[in-house]
Amino acid sequence: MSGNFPPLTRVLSSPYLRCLQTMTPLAAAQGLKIEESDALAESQSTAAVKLVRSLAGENLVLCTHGDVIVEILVTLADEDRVDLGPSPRQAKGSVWALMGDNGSFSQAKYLPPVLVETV
Amino acid sequence: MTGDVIELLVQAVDRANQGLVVCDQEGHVLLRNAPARDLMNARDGDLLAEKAVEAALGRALAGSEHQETLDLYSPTRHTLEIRAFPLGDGIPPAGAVALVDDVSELRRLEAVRRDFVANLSHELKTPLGALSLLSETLEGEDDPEVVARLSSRLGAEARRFSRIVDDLLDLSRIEAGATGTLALVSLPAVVNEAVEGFHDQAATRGIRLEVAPVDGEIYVMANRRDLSSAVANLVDNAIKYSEPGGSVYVSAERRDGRAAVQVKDEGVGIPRRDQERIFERFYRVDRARSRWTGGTGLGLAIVRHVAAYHGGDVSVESVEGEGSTFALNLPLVREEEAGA
Repeated sequence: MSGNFPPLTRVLSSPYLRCLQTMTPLAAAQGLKIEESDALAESQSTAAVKLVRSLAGENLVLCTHGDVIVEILVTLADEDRVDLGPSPRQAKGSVWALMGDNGSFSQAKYLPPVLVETV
Repeated sequence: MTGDVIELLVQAVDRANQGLVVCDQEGHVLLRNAPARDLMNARDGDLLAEKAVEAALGRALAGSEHQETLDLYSPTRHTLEIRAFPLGDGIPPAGAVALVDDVSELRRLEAVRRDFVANLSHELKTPLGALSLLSETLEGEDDPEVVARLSSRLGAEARRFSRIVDDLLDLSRIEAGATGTLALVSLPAVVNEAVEGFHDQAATRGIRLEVAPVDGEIYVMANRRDLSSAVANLVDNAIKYSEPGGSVYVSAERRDGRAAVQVKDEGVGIPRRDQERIFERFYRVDRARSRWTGGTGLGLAIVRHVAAYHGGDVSVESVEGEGSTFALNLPLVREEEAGA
């Protein structure tokens, strides 16, 4: 996450270990505790959409699974008419930035995964 | 030229749609036709028009053609296009002419067209984005449960896209006047036919859907398919905007010498400021309200066009939190004319 974003107020994650591990460095860097949410677990698309809507307008990060991300985005395209761009993707490690408030979203922006050199 | 010929020419230019002002080389106005007088009579904003025409004539007398667009906001908002040309072959010119067009309506139509194209692009892009994301995800997915779920959403998105295109084609056909010939139609029969397809949807949502009994027959001259589609659109909206436990009442009746279809719901209602605009293409009262309906944003525009080409109209009365009543009013065919 780059410095383009205002300071985070919360970090929420699916209770699955791989999600919690993904969020650990970010939460530590921001001095925040990871909040586990069952609504972000695999196959929880309805609960996830509800959670995301309830958080519209807050500067926070959610970590969930690919299929859940797709269902959230498709729901926002359907119901809020958010434009996902010409060839939307959701590669592992990628980020979607959602802009909105009062339970609705107006924009979604895809940030591709950052390549990390491993030795 | 004789005086008679000049008089005929003056009368001829009075008949033009365009304002025309001619001046001599000193800038004295020789002729101002009727539209020019109308466009520049002595109201506030029109003094500005008068000055702009004078300035344009001055430029033309200096030897160059001149064109400008003037936006006026008083007494009503309108836009004038002013063009001025030197007259005669000499320098300085022997005179000048200014042509004044009221392009307000043209500008308004251009703005409507621009908005429509922008809205349409957006309305088509959002389901396309969803389709594209779903197909990309499905390609790399091997969990059968996820594949089944996402495939089902992909199908729903494709159907939504197809509904938008169908509605657009309907609207375009009706706007182009390709509406076929009108035939004698029983209005209660059309209403029953249109409502028939909604009983399951209403029951699933816990909404009571009732058609009022009709006293006698009501005939209208109509394109049966379009009229049925218009009524269906109204019933569909009434169900979509109703809460479970609410009722939707549909009636066909004679009212004030006209035939009317009324669709009444007890749903969320429409704010007063939006009540006229809801008939515009893609107009939505607000995102949160349109969220759950799955509508194309074209239904009420279709209803309005269908009403208009049948010589009728559509109106709405609504109170927020109490419900809405839409009335589709059509010319009534009297029983003796219907041969009944």
